[in-house]
Amino acid sequence: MTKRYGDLVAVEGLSLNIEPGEIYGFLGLNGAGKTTTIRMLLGMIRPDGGLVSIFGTKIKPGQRLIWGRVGYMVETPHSYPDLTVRENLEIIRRLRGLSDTKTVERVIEELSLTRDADKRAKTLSHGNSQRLGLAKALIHHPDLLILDEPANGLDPAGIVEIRNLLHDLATEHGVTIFMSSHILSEVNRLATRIGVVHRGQLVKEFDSAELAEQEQRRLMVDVKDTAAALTILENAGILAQADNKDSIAITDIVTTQHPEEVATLLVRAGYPPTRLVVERRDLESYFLSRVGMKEKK
Amino acid sequence: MISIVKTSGGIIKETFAALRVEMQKVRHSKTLWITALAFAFITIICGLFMFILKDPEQARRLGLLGAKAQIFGGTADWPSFFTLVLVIMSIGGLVIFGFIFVWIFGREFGDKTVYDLLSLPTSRITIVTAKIIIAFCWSVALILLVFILMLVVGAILQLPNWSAVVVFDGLGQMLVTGLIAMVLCIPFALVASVTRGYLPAVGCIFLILVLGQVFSALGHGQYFPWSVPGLYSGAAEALTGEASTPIGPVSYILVGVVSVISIVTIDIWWQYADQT
Repeated sequence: MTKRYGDLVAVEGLSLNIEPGEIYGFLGLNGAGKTTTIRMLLGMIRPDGGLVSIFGTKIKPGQRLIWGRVGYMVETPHSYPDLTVRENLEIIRRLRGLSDTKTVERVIEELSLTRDADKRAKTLSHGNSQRLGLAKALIHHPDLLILDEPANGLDPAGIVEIRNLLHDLATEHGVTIFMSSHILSEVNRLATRIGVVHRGQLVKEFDSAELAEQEQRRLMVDVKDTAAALTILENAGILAQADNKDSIAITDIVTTQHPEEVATLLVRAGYPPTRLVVERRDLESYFLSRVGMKEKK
Repeated sequence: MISIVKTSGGIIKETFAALRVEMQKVRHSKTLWITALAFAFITIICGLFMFILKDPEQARRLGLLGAKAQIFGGTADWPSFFTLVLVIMSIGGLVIFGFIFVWIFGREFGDKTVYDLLSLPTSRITIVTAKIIIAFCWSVALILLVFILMLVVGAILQLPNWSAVVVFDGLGQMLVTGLIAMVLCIPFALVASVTRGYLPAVGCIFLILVLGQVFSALGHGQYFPWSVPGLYSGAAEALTGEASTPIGPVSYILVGVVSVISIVTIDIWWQYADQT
């Protein structure tokens, strides 16, 4: 898919394929093109190039039956402020053609909104507005859930609750979930596959098995004479490089698991380390490096 | 869990569902009561003019107000009361009905609830149609409210020249004037949709009102659709005291063309425009 607004390229040549039952984490910084992509998936904006197909149906204007199988939440969810939580859900129930009136009560319970069911939407906390948005997306038991930043505004307990709910929907009921986020740890905990989007392009895609591999370790060694220490390490067959004036970074997996051997080697050579620490280069760092940003030390 | 949920189709069922939804939104809004109060106020003010006209002594004591009432109504009786309400409604109706159309469409953008309406098994055209129907029903309900209030006020004032013909003729004229004003308000709904909010559309209502006055003053009102309700009701004549340009089939055709074009355009816009 490609989408341009004048000279601004919002999404460029972005290609995604999401398998049934998958939880796909769509990761990107603010303004990376996540919401534009989601709106194209939902037929709210038309791509300038490419096409969207859901369950084998090409998405085009006037499409409606396919949406019966899709639940969605775009950006911060908004509801009719003067209507209660229950009335807002009634509206969605009717527009989705759901004849069973109990669906509203069920989803209220599922999203822990029972206490606020008769409150007007404008009086809800940000977290509960988010729950109402999720309730609207889930009311019809969709086969595919497209969620834009679902954890946004929720407190830690709420985040865990929603994570468990989404996990349960995917694993127990086979619901396919496409969720965007700019919080890597959130995506990391739930997604079975992650796509990293940056400046409208998909820069990397990896599945859960690869996640652990991306979580790199490195052994940081501070010594008074880095040049001499590097020669000693190289002579011992250890791949190392100077990180800054006083530090050496070792990324070799086997070595990072045995820092004591590096310490012994340097002490015996007469260059005892002044600091020896194993750092975990996590997904956050990986993500930032993929999008060309550096972490502040 | 997924497969047991039944969705029921059918355009009629879908339209009724969309109508109920729009009705629910309107019922809970303050705008409903504000427009009802505005029309009630108009009726009561017209009743006040009748009251002043009925008692010339009091009219003279009130000075300017009495003089103005003389211009509008002439004599204090049922036909004059209907004429006065009709004249005010032909102009005020365009504003208030216009505001109803703008609110029904513009609120979805103002409240950012529009995204909930775009990817549903209910088509966007059904939702737009339901909105227009509800705007019409709301406007007709306001006309009926004015009519009932007129009957009450007129009875209290014990206005002369009551007859079933006068009353039904008056109601018929109110409904026709209102209907012309209503169809001319659909473009305001289009403006509210395209500009994604209320303000530009409200500005558009007032701009059109001014243009309507200009066209009427220049004697070309019959070719400017938004002048037609005023010309039909006799508002221009009542305001200037001079015979206004008569409206003919061309005027009604232009009103029809404006309404059809705006309905088609608003449907196309909702169906195809990017919803960013």
